[in-house]
Amino acid sequence: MQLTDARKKLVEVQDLTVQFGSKRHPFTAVDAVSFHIFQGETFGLVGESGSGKTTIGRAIIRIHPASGGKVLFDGRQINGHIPRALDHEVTRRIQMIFQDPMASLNERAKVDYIVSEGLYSNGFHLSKEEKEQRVARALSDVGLLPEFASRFPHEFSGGQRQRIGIARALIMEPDFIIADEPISALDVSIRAQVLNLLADLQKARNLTYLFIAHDLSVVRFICDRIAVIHKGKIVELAESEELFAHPFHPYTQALLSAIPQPDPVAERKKVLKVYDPSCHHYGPDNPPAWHEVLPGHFVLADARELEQYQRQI
Amino acid sequence: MDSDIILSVRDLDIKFTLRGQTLHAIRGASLDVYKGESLAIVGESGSGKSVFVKSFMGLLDANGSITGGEILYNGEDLTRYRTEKDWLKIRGREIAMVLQDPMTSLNPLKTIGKQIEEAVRLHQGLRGSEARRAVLEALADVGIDQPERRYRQYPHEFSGGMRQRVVIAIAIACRPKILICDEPTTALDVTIQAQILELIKQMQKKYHLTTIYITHDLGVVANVADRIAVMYAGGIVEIGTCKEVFYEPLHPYTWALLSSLPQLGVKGQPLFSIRGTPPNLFHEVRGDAFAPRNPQALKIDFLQTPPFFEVSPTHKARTWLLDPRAPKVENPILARVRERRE
Repeated sequence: MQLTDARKKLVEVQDLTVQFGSKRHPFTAVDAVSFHIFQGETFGLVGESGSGKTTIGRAIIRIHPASGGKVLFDGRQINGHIPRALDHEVTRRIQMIFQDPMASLNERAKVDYIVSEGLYSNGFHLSKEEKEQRVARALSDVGLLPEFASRFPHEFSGGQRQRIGIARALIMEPDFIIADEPISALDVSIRAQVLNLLADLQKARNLTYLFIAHDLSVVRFICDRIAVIHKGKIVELAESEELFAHPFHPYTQALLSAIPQPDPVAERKKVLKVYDPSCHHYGPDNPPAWHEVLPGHFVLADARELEQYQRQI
Repeated sequence: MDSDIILSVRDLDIKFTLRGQTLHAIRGASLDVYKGESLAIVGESGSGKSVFVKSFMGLLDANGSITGGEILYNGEDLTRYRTEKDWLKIRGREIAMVLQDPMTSLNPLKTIGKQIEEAVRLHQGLRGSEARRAVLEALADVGIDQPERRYRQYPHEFSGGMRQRVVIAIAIACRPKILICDEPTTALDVTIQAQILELIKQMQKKYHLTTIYITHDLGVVANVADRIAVMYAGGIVEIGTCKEVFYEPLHPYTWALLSSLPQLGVKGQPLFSIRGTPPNLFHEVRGDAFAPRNPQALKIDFLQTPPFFEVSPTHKARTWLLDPRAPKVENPILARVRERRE
């Protein structure tokens, strides 16, 4: 465990809060969330629709302004007002892959433009040949033919479109990629291809991923550490195998029990757990706090629950 | 399976015309559906699984038509139906459908209550306060709290899972014999997915329905299906009971589908992925349609279409590997499936 802690933290999120709505009736989508992502790791953020997982990703890449807290990238704060030079640097070094490849590509632009758009708008002064070269390289990096540059998105299948989305992120030569449900909209057989591609790219370029998803089975496969988020709060955080071995929080257990197993006998015996937040007896006098139950395994609990979790070990 | 056959499809052929070209979407598919069972049809996008079941309800797009075979329901051949009037006898009343995306299958301008009431009026013949009571019952039936309040609400006030419950309520309100669920949970979260599948199972029991699930995800159907049909390039390549298909899969395509499930993957190793793309059905397919993507394909796979080989009375597959003359090919997924079971 000591070794892991010596790794460099590429992204640090401290007490990040994101609110929507008016000042008088704010809706807190993300509630004082803290975590960090080490260089070169894949960090999974798992939760249901409406849990705020996407909002966290979007707040890190600065699509949504943070209402409170800090986001540090490479040791420097990147939310709020930052110098222009840093802004440019961060825009290049953090990239995003979106969920729905049918909706996230400009239907009226050719692949060539879609992939190279970041280069135009980020003040890279490249000649036409250089640009073409980089587009061709980005496309072949994701397993597409460079000839595809002159085609339109509608000519591609879902998996190919998602590759275009990945090429668009890669061309900026980022260090950190936020992948927001990158495979949810794809067929199972295509999911494997995209997951493998992401894993290969990570190895080749020492990329760091924030992988946002609702399906724990996929996240287990690709992520080093996983944070489970519910209603804007992280309820449990651990290394992925550890989380599967010892899920403490009832919400994590509910998510785990919902994973469909490709095994008819086991599946029919399965008892589906449903998470009911009223099982906690939190009040103003015993608010839940963040505890390290096992090394590197954190859970949100009050004193009574903590005792119960420790007995389970 | 000693129960009666409720729907029987024989050598169905469906063709679409697109810009002067002909697309052979369903190529001689045959399938028997037994009364009261739940059958899953599994395949990739473009395998024709949706087109296949849409043809049972006369819902093919205008450029598509059934060019051969028959669909027998209650002794009648549905392929002979020509007019909308004919089809209205079947749609909803006999066969109802739950579509993939609950965001688009409800009318955003009508209240939830009115939309369910429409089905209740048409199919149960109820009016006024009786109809209203039936709607409230239907809402409670599918697990929607406070039906009175929900009755007056519009689809945008519902979450995805709740909307899918409403869609199911509408389908059930028609009192059909067969319920077709086309990717009922693809657009939903994992936790909601489990709840919706559970709900469909309950409804099936309560109303003695026959259900047909369509999905691309084999993992989803282990819990709900009695039998599984695997579809590829417009034809059924393997069919068997749920256990047979999961524990003793026969066709290389079924192996590939199972192998690509992340639940069966080994961390740190690349996940299995099916190489290549499904065949272009604008061209004639020769031999086993899966052969070009199958690393263990035999020579004959490229030349001649394999017949069905029966392994048990309920389990058959269309692959030359089952021919007695075929070389023994190791089934790559079997070991991992067995390992998991222990």
